[in-house]
Formats: sequence, structure tokens, C-alpha cells
Amino acid sequence: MEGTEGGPSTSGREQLMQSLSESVDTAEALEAAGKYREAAQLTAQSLTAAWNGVVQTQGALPTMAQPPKMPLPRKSYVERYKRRVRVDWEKWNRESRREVPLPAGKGSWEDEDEEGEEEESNTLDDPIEEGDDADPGQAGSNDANGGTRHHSSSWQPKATVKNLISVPGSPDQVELVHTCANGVRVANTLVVPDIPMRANHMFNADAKGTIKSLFEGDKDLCSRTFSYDELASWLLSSEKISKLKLGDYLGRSDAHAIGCITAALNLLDFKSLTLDEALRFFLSLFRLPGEAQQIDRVMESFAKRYTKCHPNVFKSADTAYVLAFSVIMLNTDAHSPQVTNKMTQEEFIRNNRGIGENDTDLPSELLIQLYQSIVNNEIKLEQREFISSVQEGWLYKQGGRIKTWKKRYTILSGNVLYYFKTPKDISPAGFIPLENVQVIRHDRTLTFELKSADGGREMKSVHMAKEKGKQPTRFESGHHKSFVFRTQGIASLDDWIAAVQEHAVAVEIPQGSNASIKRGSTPNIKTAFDAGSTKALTCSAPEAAAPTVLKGQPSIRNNVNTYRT
Amino acid sequence: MGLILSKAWASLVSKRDVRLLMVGLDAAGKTTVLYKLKLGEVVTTIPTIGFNVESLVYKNLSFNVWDVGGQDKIRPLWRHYYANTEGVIFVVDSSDRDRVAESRDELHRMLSDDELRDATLLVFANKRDLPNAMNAAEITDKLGLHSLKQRNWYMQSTCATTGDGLYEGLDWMAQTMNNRK
Repeated sequence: MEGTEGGPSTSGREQLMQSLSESVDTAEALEAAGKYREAAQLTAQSLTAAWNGVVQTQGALPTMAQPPKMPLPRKSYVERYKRRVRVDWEKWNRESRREVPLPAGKGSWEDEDEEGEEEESNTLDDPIEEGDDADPGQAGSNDANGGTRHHSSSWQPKATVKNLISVPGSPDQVELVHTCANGVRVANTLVVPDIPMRANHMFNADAKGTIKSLFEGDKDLCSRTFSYDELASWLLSSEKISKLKLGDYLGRSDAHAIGCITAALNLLDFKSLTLDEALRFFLSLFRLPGEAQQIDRVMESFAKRYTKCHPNVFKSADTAYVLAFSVIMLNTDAHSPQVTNKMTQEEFIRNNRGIGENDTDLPSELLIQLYQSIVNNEIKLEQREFISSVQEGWLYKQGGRIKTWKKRYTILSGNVLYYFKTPKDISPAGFIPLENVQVIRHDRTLTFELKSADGGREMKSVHMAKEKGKQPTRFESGHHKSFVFRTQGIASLDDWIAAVQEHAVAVEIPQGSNASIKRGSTPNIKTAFDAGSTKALTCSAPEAAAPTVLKGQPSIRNNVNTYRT
Repeated sequence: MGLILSKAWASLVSKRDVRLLMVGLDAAGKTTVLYKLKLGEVVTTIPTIGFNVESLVYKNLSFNVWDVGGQDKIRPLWRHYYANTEGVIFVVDSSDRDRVAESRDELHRMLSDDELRDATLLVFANKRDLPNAMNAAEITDKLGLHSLKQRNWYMQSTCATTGDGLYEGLDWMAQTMNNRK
């Protein structure tokens, strides 16, 4: 056996030595260029790779059961590095007081990281590696805090933007809040009735039957009957009711549904709101159904209430009704991707000719104002219920391997940064849990960079898996070492950096899950869910909860393995 | 010869945009028809607040289907969309004997609009699978389709939940549209 292996192992050693000397050259070049961290990392990587190679070509040697330790950078390196990245370390350290012993660093990572690029063939599962209770990507070659790991579970994001706020001091009251584009804020207080919890689920399954039971009194469900006012308060304030089902129900033509929508509208005060703002407020409470007849009924009820609040604006409720219907038409026309020929302002005015009292025309200023408001600011319902946005907007995201800038609609929510191809996408193109990240600011290029707080290891990130010829349906872990986002201006850069720093958390990766992860792979996103820090995701993106295990293994090992077989 | 070839080529390659309106009383099955035709395409975007509008490519036509309706008062608002409409899909519930007269009135009122004088009419007699559904001949009679003068129309009985008959109807529509140009 020794004899047969002699040939290949000699050439294998040569190969190893060659790659090692190549790495040394590269590392020296890097060091000369001032990239100390990269150099140290490269050295560590190639040492590990060389060790692996030796083990694999010659069989496991009992004397070399432990791989060489990855050298930690000197303290002065770390200090210099910290100064350079200009992160508010005080803030970062605030929650991290617990000292965690730094695990023996080893493992190697590949520098390749491109979204959706995972075609590399998997390496053979080597028994040596599996038996190795290696630490999963915790190499921390230069843990910036000199061996401490941040630990936090109490760092909560600031209050998020919601239109439902509980009134302090009175547990059975909530406020429905609407903030207009011009900053005017309207709040309506609702008294939440004592409707049994399970009625929520019953409503989502059978809206009509549930309302009938509650209104007429059903011994199995409730002890008393509820009025339309109480039902409406419940429908508007319960967070467990599906907005889609509620919209479907409010668009119905039976007596109970009309009773509910009328009562719901009476709870809302439109006095200080223009027609489009009132419509925006109303339509933020449920999902308007798409059938013309249902829209017709909802708009008719809305117009009655609006005219009651504004007796002087329109002579009759019919005018408001036709105008509201017309606004919904315009919203569809202007913002549905299915509509190719968009209505112009002139066409909108022409289409609304003669809808006033006795076929008179409405003032064109009103129509122009409505047209501009709708076209520039779509009436939309926040459908991504799991995401209550803290900060959102268009950013340019730099590609992983191909460094192009892609425009992405980015939403910061909870402790996760989501990016979407368009704001209307239901599922994101990818997301980055802001765990153990550091933010690097580049004023000159108006960019900010997210990096793993402990240096060069891969960041936790997830992106949509690409499947040929199919709509993507699942997510997989990304391989980004850093993410670079470009903003539109210095103010926007300030805002984003502040928001990201505010919502970033330091999380310790649970020890229990380490065993399941092989060396060389990043802790996959499942770990993040286990850690409980990205709870918001589990309900919203179920595909993300079970991501595929990393396919790409470090290529250095690939080489060795191909050689061996 | 060259003309024939280029025509044949154009008919193979070109996609023509055709706007269709879908009309019918509520609960006739318009939404079901619309989304059954759209089947197979994954909807990944949040639908726009407003009317159901879908575009679907069939044969070499790109249909843009609007679900329209509502009371008389808002009817003038559809003028903008009538103007470029080449076809109307009218959906009627063939098991609803009580409201078939209402359907007839709705249909004739719409077709009397000047903008729609050239529009072809495709009637889907939906819910044909229900036990006391009227047959196509009966519905044709009750909707007064025979009284339509100079109108290209076609009656197709369908079951939107299974998709039966929908594509036969669209085939006719596509053929009619292709003969037109």
C-alpha cells in the first residue's frame, strides 16, 4: 500500500508545497500593500489547506490530530484596524459583556461569492473531516474584540411604524393612526370589544357565518350578541384577522356586511382629510377586493361617509362615489404592470367629465391634484405583514462576484435587511440578518459596507435560489463576505447607517447547533432561526426556514479530493 | 409570393395586443374565469389595489382583460377603456334563472355604447356543471343574442372551476381577431 501510494503522494506533496509557496508570495504582496488582515487570513488558510492535504494523502497521523492553530493578529493590528473602520465600538460593546472563549480557529473559505452561483460540485464527505469536531466557521482570525464574543438578546429595535397603537393606560382601547403625505396625523380611538379569541380564526375561515353568529348570538361561540359597532371595532383592530378576508367580506352585498362596513366607516373621522387621503386611510385597513362590483359597493359606502364628514365639498354622495371609483380605476391604470397604455392627466380629466351634480364638471384643480397624488404615490396596502419597515428605499447593491450595481428596494425591519427587486415583490431577492455585523462607511462613494464583525468570515445571508426556467421559490445561503450598498446622497447615507447600526444585534451562535455544521461552511440560516433573532421571518418566508445546506465547499479541498480519486 | 410569405411570417411571430373587457353580474364567475386562464403563471408580486386586470398571451395575441362592472352611475367612467376595446367577454351564470333577464339588460346596455359597436362578443355560459343549468340554446334565447345585428358573437358553455370550454372560447376569439387585421 505504501508503495502504490508513493507516486501520487510525492507529486501531491509537491503540489502542496507549490501552492503553499504561491500563497506565501501572495501574502507578502498583500502585506506590502498594507492588507495585513487579508495576508494573515491567507496564510492561515493555506496552512490549513496544506495540513488537510498532508492528512489526506498520507492518512490520518495520530500525532497530527490537531491542526495548527490559526495565528491571531497582534493587538496593535486589531487596534489599528478598529480605528480605520470607524465604527462606534462603544455602542457595539454595550450589550456584550459575557466572555466566550475563542475557539481554536481553523477552516478555509473560498473567496468566490456570487448570488445564485452554486454550481460547484460537492466534495466527497471525508471521514476525517466529519470526525473532526471542528468549529463551524468561527475562525475569527482577528476577532476585533480580542477574544470576546458579543452577546445580546435584549437589544430590541425601536418602535416600528404601525397604524394600530394601543392606548397606554386603557388596555381595551387602540388607536387607528393615519399619517398623510404632508405629515398630518389622524388618530381614531376604538374600544375593543370582548369578542372571543377564536372568532378571529373562524372569521378567516368563514367570515359570513362568524359575523352572523356574533351578531345573532351563538351559544357555542359567545355569551351575548354584538352590535355592528362592536363588530366593526373588532374587525378593524384585531391583528389576527386577514386583511384579504376582511376586504372580501366588506365587499359583500348582504345586510350584515353592509352593517359592518357602515359601522366601520362611522368609526373613522375624515373631517381633516382630503378625498384621496381619506381613501388611503380607509384602504389601509383591509385589502380592497378586485371585482368591480365589490369595489363599487365599498366605494359607495365610503362616499356616503365622506360626504357626511365634508358636507360642503360635494353636493351629493353620488359625486364622491363616482370620483372615488374613478380614483381606484386610476390607481389600477397607473400602477398595475398589466396595463401598458397609461392614462394621461388630460384623459383622466376628460373621463371624469360631467360626474358632478346635474352632469356638471368638477373643478379641474381637484382632478389634477387627485391625478398627481395617485400617480406619484400609489395607494397600497402593506402586504408584507411580517415586515414592519423601519427604513426603506431604493439602494444600489453591489453584486458579489461581478461587481455591478443592481437597483434593489431595500427594507430594514427588525434585525434584518431585506432587498427586493421591486417594492411590489412579495418575497425578497435576498436578506441579511444584521447579526454580528459591522458597518463601514465610505463617504466618497456614498456607500456603506456590511461586514462580519469578527473579520473575514462569510456573512450570514440568504438569497433566492435560481432555478433554470422557473420562478424562484426557495432560498439558499449566500456566500458574501461583505455587502456594499450605495445610497443616493449623504443624508440618505447617514440615515441608513444610523438605522443599520441601531438595529444590528450581536448574537452568539448557539453551541448546540455547531455539531451539525461541517467545518468550512458558514452556520446556515436555520441557525439564525434557532437563535430566535429573526423570528419575524419564520412566519413570512417559510421557504427560508429550511434552506438548502451549502453546496460549495472550499476549492482547495476539492483539488485534493479529485486528486485522490 | 413575397407578400404571402411575409404575412405568414408576421402571423407566426408578431404578437398583437388586444384589449378585452370582461363583464357580467356578480357571482357569474368572472374572477374564476380570469384566473383560470392565467393558470400556470406564478404570481409573485403584490397585486395592485384596484381592479382585476390580467394580461395573457394566447396564440399570437396578447389579451389584456379587464374585469369591469358596477352600477349605472359609474358607467361613464369605463368610456376610456371602451375606446380601444376589440372584444367583450360576457360571463353569465347558466344556473341562475332568476337573474338571466338582468344579465340580458346589462349586456344590451353595454353593447349599445357607441364605442363598442365593432367589438366582438364572446359569451361564456358558465357553471354548466350545476344541476339545473340552462343549455346554450336556452341562454342564447334568453339573452336575446339573436336580436344582435351586425355583431360577431359566439356562445360557449363553460365550467370555469375546471376550465372546460374556456380555451375553445378563446380560440374563437383569437381566430376572429386574426381575421380582422
